[in-house]
Amino acid sequence: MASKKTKVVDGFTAIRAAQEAARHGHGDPLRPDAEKKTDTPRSQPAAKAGTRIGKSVMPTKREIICPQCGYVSEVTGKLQLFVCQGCRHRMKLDDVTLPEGDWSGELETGGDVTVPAGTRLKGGKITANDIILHGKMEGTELRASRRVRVFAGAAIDWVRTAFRDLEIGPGLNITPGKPLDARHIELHGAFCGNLRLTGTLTIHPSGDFSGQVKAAGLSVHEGGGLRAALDISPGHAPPPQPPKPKSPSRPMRKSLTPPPKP
Amino acid sequence: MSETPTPPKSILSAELEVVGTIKTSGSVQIDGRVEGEVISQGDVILGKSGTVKGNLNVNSISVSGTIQGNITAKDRIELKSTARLMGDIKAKRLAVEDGVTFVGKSEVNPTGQPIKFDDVPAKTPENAQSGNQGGNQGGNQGGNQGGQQDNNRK
Repeated sequence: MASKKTKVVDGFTAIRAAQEAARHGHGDPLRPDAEKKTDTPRSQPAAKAGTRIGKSVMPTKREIICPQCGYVSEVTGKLQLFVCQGCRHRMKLDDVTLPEGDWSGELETGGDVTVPAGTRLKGGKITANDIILHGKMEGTELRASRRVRVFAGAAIDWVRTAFRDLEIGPGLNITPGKPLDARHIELHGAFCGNLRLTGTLTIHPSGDFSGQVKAAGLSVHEGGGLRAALDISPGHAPPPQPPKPKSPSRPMRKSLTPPPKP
Repeated sequence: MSETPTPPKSILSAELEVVGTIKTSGSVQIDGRVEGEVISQGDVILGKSGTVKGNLNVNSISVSGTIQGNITAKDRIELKSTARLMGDIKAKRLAVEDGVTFVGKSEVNPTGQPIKFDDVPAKTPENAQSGNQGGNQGGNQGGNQGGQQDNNRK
């Protein structure tokens, strides 16, 4: 059942092998209760084989948002270099973990950047798809194309941080001081302030929200606290973007050979 | 609501319309239209086609329909994805599914204890200078307009 080029047996190969066995009258090994069928020639379609290819298990997709133009792409598998379909911006998709101690510099990646607990961000700029913050911000600018995750013990500078989605870890109590605009926010800890969301506010069992919120969706798991003035309506979601118009096809090349004479 | 739900004792079917106060010591399922107050010592289930225009004072409630009024529950409020609520809620526990339309205030504090938020440290010259610079940077990519945590309490 393994392909000739690789020694990996995947689900698709297994299903095709089972169909082949059923076609040759050996019964369907994946469905032993099904009746054995007579050998049918290859030219005829094996549509009546017991096992069918339904929905294959696909690798999980990863959302990559271009930091230049905001174009949202979905990638599967392991990529090293990513080229944005919107603006052709190229970037690596490496996941980076900063060393402990003081850090300052310029870092851009399409992957995730993790700031450990013992790290102090003294200056410079970090641009990444997701930023996971355990350490302290003391001057560095953080630009997360997608999400910032803040955990207990972290110190975040809201003025120098840009994100679309925000996740507050358990045990953390956050008071930004000014309204936050974002897409989705997930609370595992406590948050006190005002929110304007185009997506969903999710409060997990350990989470608590107090303040005002205007969002397109709300999800509260039992055990979560909510003491707020709410305006939750699907109308607050942004309108779906129109599909990108296809570029006009190139005109056909005129033939170089002259037309035959009448 | 109890973990193993018991069948409701009273049912207001979808074609029924009640104008007035409904008071029951047991549980009730509302699939019709109620214009008035609902007082129940048991559990209330508001079906998808159910509409209540008035306040509800219940033990626990599961909402799939429309409510224009306030809900006060001794135990639990559950808002299903098709729920539409225009009013305030007050309960011990709350569960909300994605898709709910909710305009009003909420007072749900499962722990019952006040949460202490981080105190703002004293303003230092360095923080003041960086806060002023941050304030002039303008909008960010995500539209984040948060003030610096240290400086906005005062």
